[in-house]
Amino acid sequence: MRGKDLFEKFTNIKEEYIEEVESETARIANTDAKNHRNKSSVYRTWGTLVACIIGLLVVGPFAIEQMRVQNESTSMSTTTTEGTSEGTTLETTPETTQETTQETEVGTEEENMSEATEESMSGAIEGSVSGATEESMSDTIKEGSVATFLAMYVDASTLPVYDLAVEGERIFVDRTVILETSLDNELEVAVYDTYCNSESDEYLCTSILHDISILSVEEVENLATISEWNLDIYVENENLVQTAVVEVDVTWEETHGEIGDGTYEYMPEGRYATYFILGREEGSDEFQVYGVCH
Amino acid sequence: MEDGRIVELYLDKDEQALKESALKYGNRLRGIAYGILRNYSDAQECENDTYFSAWNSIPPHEPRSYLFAFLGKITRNLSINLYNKNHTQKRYGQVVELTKEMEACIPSPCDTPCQIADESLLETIDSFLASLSKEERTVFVARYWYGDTVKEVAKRFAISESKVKSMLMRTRNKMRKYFQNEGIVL
Repeated sequence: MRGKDLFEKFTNIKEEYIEEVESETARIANTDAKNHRNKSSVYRTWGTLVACIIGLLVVGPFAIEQMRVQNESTSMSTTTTEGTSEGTTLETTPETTQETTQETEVGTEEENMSEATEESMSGAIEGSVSGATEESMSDTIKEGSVATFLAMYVDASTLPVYDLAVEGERIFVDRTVILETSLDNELEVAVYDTYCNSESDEYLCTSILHDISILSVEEVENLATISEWNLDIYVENENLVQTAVVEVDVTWEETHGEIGDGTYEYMPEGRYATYFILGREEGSDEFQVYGVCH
Repeated sequence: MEDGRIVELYLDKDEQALKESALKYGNRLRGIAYGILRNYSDAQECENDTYFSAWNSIPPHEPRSYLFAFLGKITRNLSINLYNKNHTQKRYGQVVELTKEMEACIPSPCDTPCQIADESLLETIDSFLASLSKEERTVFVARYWYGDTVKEVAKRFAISESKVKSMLMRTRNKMRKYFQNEGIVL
């Protein structure tokens, strides 16, 4: 007997051992997903705390400066008042009158300045609190969502490699899909299917798919538009354990003159880089398309 | 859908059984076939053939509590047959690696047919697997039944690749000794 024979005989081992592998795999995947979610939640909390601290550090000096200016202006106005009352009790001479007038003028100027400074400072502080802090917090949350999304990102090298030679034209009732590239894995097939599966007959068009490719983590990180994607929706609301982004280089062409009964075009004509957000839910084996971004 | 319900559909000869099987286990069955064949279209073919084979074998079989294992065995058999058919002259890739490793489990590998009946051999393999710890057993089965690569096994059980390699080597040695101790001539 050779190893080959033993390998073949091994097929008929007890079913319980196969089921055991299945249940163990599922158990570990669940534990990983839970740990990942816990970690994500901790990261988000820490992110928010850091954003608050940064906000305080930015706002703090302004607040202190404002308090100092307020104190100074208060003490100046007190001095001015005292000076004025003293002036009235003194004998009235041109010199003292001039000094008093000067002091009063100075006092008024300082008061005006302090009011103006107070307004502008309070405006600046309000702006920094309501604007900068909120922006930085929302940026932090966005960054957190991106990080969580990318932490679950699929390792494309582990996906079974398809070799589907399905290039060519497919004509449907309401659309034509022309594929100019091969489909190398299940994610690319899922995206291709979205172009083929019609649920509406409202738009009539041709889509030419020049290229469909799964992006690497680095490519997703470097996408300029990623901060505009609402990844938090997918990260928070869907029970995802794996994520991926597939880029489609597509040209939309209107081919039937009028669009349906005059309703709307799906996309204006042109060539686009379209990004499909895919995810695999906990307990599921299949990736699904969750969103489309441009 | 529950396995029991899918088996009922097979028993009722309802074609929905095929769809439900594909929906629930299609990917995993394709994965088993792909582990052996390393070719998507062949794996797809084996997956489809699995459903029809199950269609013909339920009844008499009623695998209510082990439907995946039942379908998986069919897929594995079909994949090995297809692999042998496609590679009569020369063996390639993953299967070569797996069969070479499994040869280390045989006390005295030779080209003569197995000296004991299939059923006895299978009983011995099963009792050997039962003697292993759960971790050793699941890793061994994932590698040699599922045809997972070492990397895939490591990922599946969230352990390091080096741990998988050393665990597999120890288990192969244990299996060889087990056969020797049982006095089994393969």
